[in-house]
Parts: sequence; C-alpha cells; structure tokens
Amino acid sequence: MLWHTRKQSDFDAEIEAHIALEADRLKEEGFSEQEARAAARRAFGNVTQAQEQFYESNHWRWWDELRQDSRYGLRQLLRSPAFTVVAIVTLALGIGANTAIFSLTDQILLRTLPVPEPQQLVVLRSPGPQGGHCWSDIDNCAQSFSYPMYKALREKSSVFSGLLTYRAIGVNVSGHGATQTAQGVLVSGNYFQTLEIQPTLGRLLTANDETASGANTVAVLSYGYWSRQFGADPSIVNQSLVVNGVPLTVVGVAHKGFNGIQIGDAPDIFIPVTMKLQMMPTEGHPLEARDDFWLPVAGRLKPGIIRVEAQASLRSIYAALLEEDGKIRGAFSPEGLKRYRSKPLLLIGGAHGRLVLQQDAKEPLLVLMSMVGLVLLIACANVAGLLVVRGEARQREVAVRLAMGARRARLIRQLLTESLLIGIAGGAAGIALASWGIRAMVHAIPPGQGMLGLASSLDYRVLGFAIALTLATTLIFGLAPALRATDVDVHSDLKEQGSRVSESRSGVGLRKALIVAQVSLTAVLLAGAGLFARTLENLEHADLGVNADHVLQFSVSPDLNGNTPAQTLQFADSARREIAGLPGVGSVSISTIRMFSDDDMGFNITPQGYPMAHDEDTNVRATYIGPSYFPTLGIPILAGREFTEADGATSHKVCVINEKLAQRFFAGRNPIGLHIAQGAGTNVHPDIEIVGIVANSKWDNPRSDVVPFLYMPYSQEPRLGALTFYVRSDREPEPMAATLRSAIKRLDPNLPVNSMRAIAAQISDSLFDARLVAGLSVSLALVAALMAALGLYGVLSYIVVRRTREIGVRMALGGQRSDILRLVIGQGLWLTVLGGVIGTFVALIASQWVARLLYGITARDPATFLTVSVLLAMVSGLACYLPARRATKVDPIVSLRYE
Amino acid sequence: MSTQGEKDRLELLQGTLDVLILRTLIFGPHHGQGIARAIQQTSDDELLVEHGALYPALQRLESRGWISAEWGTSSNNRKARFYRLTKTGRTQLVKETAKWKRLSAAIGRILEFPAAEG
Repeated sequence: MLWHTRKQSDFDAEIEAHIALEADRLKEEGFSEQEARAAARRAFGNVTQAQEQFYESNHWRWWDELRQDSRYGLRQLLRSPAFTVVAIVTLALGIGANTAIFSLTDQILLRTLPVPEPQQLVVLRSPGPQGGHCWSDIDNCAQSFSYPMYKALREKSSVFSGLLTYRAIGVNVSGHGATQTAQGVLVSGNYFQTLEIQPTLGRLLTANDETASGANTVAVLSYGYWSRQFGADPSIVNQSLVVNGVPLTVVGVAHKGFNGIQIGDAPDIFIPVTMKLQMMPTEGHPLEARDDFWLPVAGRLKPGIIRVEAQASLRSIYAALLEEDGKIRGAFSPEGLKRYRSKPLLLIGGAHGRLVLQQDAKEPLLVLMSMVGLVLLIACANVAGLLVVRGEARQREVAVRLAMGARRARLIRQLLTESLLIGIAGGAAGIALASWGIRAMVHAIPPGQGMLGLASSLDYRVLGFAIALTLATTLIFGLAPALRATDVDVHSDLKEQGSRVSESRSGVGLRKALIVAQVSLTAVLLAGAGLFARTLENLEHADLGVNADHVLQFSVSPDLNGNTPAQTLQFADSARREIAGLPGVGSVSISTIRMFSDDDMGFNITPQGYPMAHDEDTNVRATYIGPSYFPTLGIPILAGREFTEADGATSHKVCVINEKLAQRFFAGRNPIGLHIAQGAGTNVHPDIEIVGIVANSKWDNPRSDVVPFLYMPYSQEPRLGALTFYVRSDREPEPMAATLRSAIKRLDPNLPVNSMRAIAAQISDSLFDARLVAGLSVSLALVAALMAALGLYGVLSYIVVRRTREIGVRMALGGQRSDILRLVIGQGLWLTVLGGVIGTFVALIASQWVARLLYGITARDPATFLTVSVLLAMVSGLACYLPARRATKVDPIVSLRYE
Repeated sequence: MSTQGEKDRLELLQGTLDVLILRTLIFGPHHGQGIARAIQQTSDDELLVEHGALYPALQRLESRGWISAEWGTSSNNRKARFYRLTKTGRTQLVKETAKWKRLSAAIGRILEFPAAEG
C-alpha cells in the first residue's frame, strides 16, 4: 500500500463522473439539464478543496516537491559555478580520502574472516616457559604449540567442534618446466572442515590426510593461485606438482576469497602438516618432537559454548597434558616442571583470524582514519561557510518566500535538497577518487611486508560507508546554514536590504566560528604531518652501520629443491666464485638470514669467563655468513679478522662478534681468542673462538636498536639451507640483476631466485608504513591548510564587501590606509590566533597518543610545533592580506554613492 | 426530497462517515455518487452527506486497504470508479459497528435517564 498512488487526473475524472451521475439522477426527477448540473455541483460542495485534500494526502506530492526542489536547486547551483565547483571538490577530497583509508582499515581491522559463523573461532595462547625451540611471528612464542600437544588437545577437549593448526612456509613448486616459489601452508587434516570452507573443485583435505609423517602426499590449491598460475584449468585435479622436491597430488581447489585465517597472508598451496619434514627440510625437528613449538592453533567452539566456559573446562585438561608432556621430555627440574605445568591456556577471539598484521597496522591505520576524519570535518566547515554566504545573499529571496506564505520547514527542506545535490556530486567524485586511491595504495605495498591478499577495489561495504558518509556530511554542513538562512525577520529584511552600514547578526558569527574550527583542526593536522614527516626523515637518514649503496641482494633455497646441507654448501661456494668472476662485480658474500627482512635467528650464549646471573637472558641475534661479508656491506672490522676460505666445515669453530656483544659480555677484556658456546646451562662448554670484532649495525629495520650480534661462517652451519647473496657492483641494478639471475641459472637451472632487490630498496620497503603515514598526513595537512586559507579569505572578503560603506565613510573622514589594513587583518588574525592556540593545545595532547609511531623526535618536538605556527601564520597572513588590500582600494566616493 | 436545504438534517459526526461507507459497500461494489445516495436514502434522508467530503474519506479508506477501487461502467452507461469492500475492510466494519452500537447505547442511556427522579 505504501506506493499506492493515484494521479491527480484520475481523481479529477472521478469527481467529474460523480457530478455527471448526480446530474443524471436529478434530470430523471424532472430538472432541466442546466438546473441538474448546477444542483449536482452544489451538492458536491467545494471541488477545489476536495482536490487539494486529495493532493495533500497523496504520496506523489512528496515526490513532486523533491523534483521541484532538485530542479530549483540545480538551477541555483549552476548560477554560481565557482561556488559549486569549490564545494564539490572540497567534499570529494574529504569523502575520497576517508573512503580509501576506510577500505584499508575495513580489510585489516574491521572485517571478520570470510567463513561461516566467524565469531565461534578462537585462537589458543599459552604464555609461559617452553624450554625448547620455538618459532613465533608475534606474542613471544605464546601462540606456538608442539604438534604432539596440539594433537592431545584436539583429542581430549570437548568444547571445540574442531581444533585446527597451520603454519605458513615458503615452497618451491616445479611443474610445466619451471620452478617457482610460492606461499605454502601446512595444515591439519580438519582445517577446512573446522573453518567450513567449501571446495571450488575436487575435494579439500580431511582427517584422512593427516595419518603419518611423510605419508600424505596431497595438496589443495587456493582459488587465487589456481586462477593465476594455472589459468583456472579444471584438469588440475589429480595432477602432480613437485613441491620442495616431493611430488604432491592436487586433490582440489578451495573456495574463492579464502586466504587462510591470517589477514595479510595469501596462501597458494595447502599441504597436510604431516609433510613437515619434507616441506621444511632444514628445520630438523621431527613432527613428534615435544620441544619444538612451531604451530599456531585455532578452534571453533561448539554452538552455545562461550569462551570463558571453554577456557575453564580446558584448564584441568591442559594442566594434565603439560604435566605428562614435561615428564616425557624430562628436561625440567622439579621447580621448572611446576612452572611449566601451571602455564595457562587462554582463548582469544578469532573472528578476525589470528592478529599478526593488525598488531603493527592498527596504530597507523587509526591515525590515518583520524586524520582523514579531521579533513572531512574541515571540508564540512568550508562548505558550510560557503553556504552561509549564499544564505546571506539569498536573504531577500527567503524573506519574500516566507512573506508569500511558504512554511519554514518547507524552505529548510529546499535548502537541504540543494546541499544534498552538492553532497551527492561530491560523494560520487569522492568515490571515484577513492577507487583510484585504494588501488594506488595497495599496489604501492612492497612484497614481504605481510600485507598480501588485500583487495584493491571498493566493495559494497566500503560503498555503503561512502554513501552513509555523504549523507551524514550533507546534514552536518547543510543543516546549520539552512536553519540560519531561514531565520529571517520578514519585515526588517525586506526593508533594509543591502543598506546596512556594518555587518550584523549570526551569519558572520557562524562563519567566524567555522573559521576558528577550521584553523584549529588544520593546526592539529599540520602538527601531525610535521611529526610524521620528521620521523620519516630521521628513519631514512638513520645510521644503519651498513653501506648499502650499490649492493644487490637476492635469496635462494637449494634445500627446498632437495639439496642436502653438504650439496648446498658446495653450491654456495661455487656460486660465490661464479659471481665474483662476473664483470662489474666488486665483491660478493652470503648470509643465511636475510638482512632487513622479517627473518631472524637468535639463541642464548655462554661467553667464556662471564659471571652469569641465575636465569640471566643471554640471548643474542646471529647469522651464518661467508668471506668478504663485512667489506661487501661496508661494516668496519675493528679488531681481529673476518672469515676466510680457510674457515671450513672441518676446521675449528670460529665467530666474529659486534661491538655491542663485546661490551656486554667482555667488558674490560680483549675478546679475541676467547670462546663462546651456543646455548646456556651447566653442561655447555665454550668452543667457538672469537676471531674478530666488527662495528655495530642494524639488522631488522632502521627503527630497531642495535643488539648483540654473533656472526659464524656458513661452512660451519650443519643445516645449511636458505642463502642470501650480497653483490656490490658499480653497474646499474637492472642489468646486473639479469646477469646474476643467469649466473645462478647456469649453476642450477631449477633454482628459483627470490626477492632480487637493492638493499637500499629493501630498507625503503621496510619503511613503507612510515612513508604511507608521512605522505598521507602531509598531503592531507596541505589540503586542510588550503581549505582553511580559502575559508579565511572568503570570510574576510565578504566582510570587506559588507563593510564597503563603512570603510568608505572612514576614509572620507580621513582614515589612513594603514588603519583600514589593520582593521581587516586584525579581524582575520584574531580568528587565526584563537584557532591556532586551540589547535596547538589539542595537538599537544593528541600527539602523546602517536608517540609510539615517532622516531628520533619527541611527541612535543618544539621545532615541529614552532614550524607549524609559523606556517599557519604565513598562510593566514596571506589569506588576510589580499582582502585587506582590496579594502584599502575602496574609493570613498564610489562606495558612498553606491546603494 | 428535491430541495435538500429545506429539511433540518443531521450533520455527520467526525469519523462516522468511514463506517457508513463500509456498511454501504457490504451490499456490493458502488461508485462514489451511489454511496452518497445510499447513505442518504437508508437514513430516510436524515443524514447530510456533503459529496465533496466523501472523496477524501474514500481515499483514506483505500490507502488503508479497507476498500479497493476499479474503473467500471454505471447502470446508465457512464464511466465511474467502483469501490469494493476488502477482507480487512469487512473485519474492520464488524469492529466499528460494535463500537458504534456500544457508544450510541451508552449515550442513549445517559440522555434518557429520568432527571427528576431522586
């Protein structure tokens, strides 16, 4: 019934019919034609009134008025194109920036996993001692479990409808003649069932695919990998792929859009966890090892069971399992076993998957969301300011319409319709801007930052956000000016139109308030931009202790092609010789852990003669390296020597330490010739001789601190696997990279070369988040400053025009140009100073909140805040000066005659 | 019967017209003029229905879904819009009728209460 509507003509026809029928009846009673018609009309009463009543009750009326308002509004907007364009561009910038950043935020922070009932998912966490080898991406190993522990929990617990485990790994995939690297993930057999993922093709893994170590030679492909790498060819099912040297049968393809349970991951191949030894050949720990903590575990709670209940019911089960586990391992003292046994098992909400990327991305994203939010507010203030001016200019029109009997609500609706037109145009342009912006941002994400699988297009959620934002924005910037413009005293406005001497009333007051708001928001944004820009600058110029210019690096994993450590060692030596002989190569070296990546290695050490406190953490970072590593990377050797070809697999063990390590463990002693042991405890014997000391250098990224570091020769690494080469050369990187690729291909045609990057580029990649925040905040702040300047300029120009007569009078009475200048600039300056002070105050408080994102400066860095004030003063000074100068050009004669 | 102003007719109380329209339609579809005539005749010409007021009422009932309308041809071959009682309209009529009966009985009791007694 809602849209049951009748046309007016239909209603009119009915009335016509009624009168005709009544007339017919009266004629039958003996009236003449004329009399009958007149009587029928009389009996009907007021036709027009009936028609009007019909119109009022009809839904069409609302539509008619909207169409009328829109047409009228459109005409009004086209009449002042400058206003319209400025308003639309302003809104488009605000809405576009918000929508683009929201899209990233939504994908990384807000959206739940694309699986059924994601809120039933939980992630397991058990902080406390482990006493073994642990792998961890976050949370200090608390989210890593051994395979036997995972299996025991799966069997003993009754609160889960499924308990799964997974572990991301790198794999080499051969097939169709070439070997390429891919993202693999080892998963438990119940992984897909627990997540309730459907196959696109074939079947997914089941519990039957997790039987015994090395026995389950099957694989499932992700939809993305299948379509990218195999052209979505359905005949892939039952074909064989050689993964890390092991032939696996592809049994199926997972559902489209499923990217595992970790945002930022984009697995290509799902492989049963029982294939661990084959897939992670240099890892060394067998599947059943109880002291190898390497698996994240997640579960789906049975319907109706809440987390707290599940956690309570798991408590005694887990304690019993730990006790049994500790006894079998036998590695604990009675005291240690007690601590191990009392480790809690906590369940973390898993609706958003396991939160790894989120940990680092959350703060920058929230900062960016706040910044674009501020820009939108400034945009709203700007457009509202423009609307107020229009409202002033249209006061006469409004007064006339009110005098003619228009209702105020109707006029407000009319004005809001106009705002809505601006809003819709701005929103549409903003969405276009956002779809370009999100694509640019996602494509700018460098590889290796754990941010894979992000969509670069706007989806319905983001579009919904943009539309809601547009409507809210329209209301924010449109309502106050509309209320203000229709608050008109009909009599006075029609009488004294245009002949006031000074400006008056709340129109200007509202605009001044808007200017103060804009200036203060701009001050906040400028302060943020300043802090983030200086942070980026500090990071880019941070002293890394490495001379990274002209050094290319690339990685290979011979172990993943089935090479033994001995074969890999041979390969490393010959590859080093081969590359050193290439034209243009200055020097070349190798490390087993890649610099400036997420990879790292570390262990406790026992330094010779060091008085170790009870339970002291002697953890150091380490890597295995080849000869000429230090010269290649420009790290000065302070004492002793570097490794040479003579430091072989069978010669006595040697190492080089950095200054930091020397200071911490050998303070006041000469470490050269002293020994170190890997590991801590009573039964280790320091057997690695220190042969050199090198200068400190950073390892992870420019933000990180220098840590104690230990270098050992790769020839003495018993599980030699992945290798990263460093090549210093004076050639251009592009042709050099091609030369290096073909050199590796000559040695092993099946070995994929990964991540060929200049070290400088790799470092720059690791600053991606800082660069995104700095770049966006600076551009947003500049846009904000421009908007604020435009707003200030607008309001002052307007005041000058309104006060032309007053200025004329002043000048006629002998006022100096400087007085006039001071009068106008004073007005603007007062607003700026007020806004600037409020903004600086807010920024000083808010900057504490982003202190963790800063580097090399404090959150209240005086230089930054001073620069912001100067910048703000300069911009607003210019914005004030231009209208003021125009005011001084007022010709008293013209201005007094004008009316 | 011919000159309507002569008789001292009763003005309709607010809201009563709706019930009367529904009641009239219980005998079958009618056009607006027919409904007006029927109300007047059935009430022995006691009630005054201003024809113009009829249509907003019809419009209201239609939008509530109590009656439905369709263009048709009258007995003397004129095009007219015919109204028909819907199912919800029928139940509504039963409710409204009961309400009216109670109301008029109550008012009647008060008005006929012997004032002099006691």
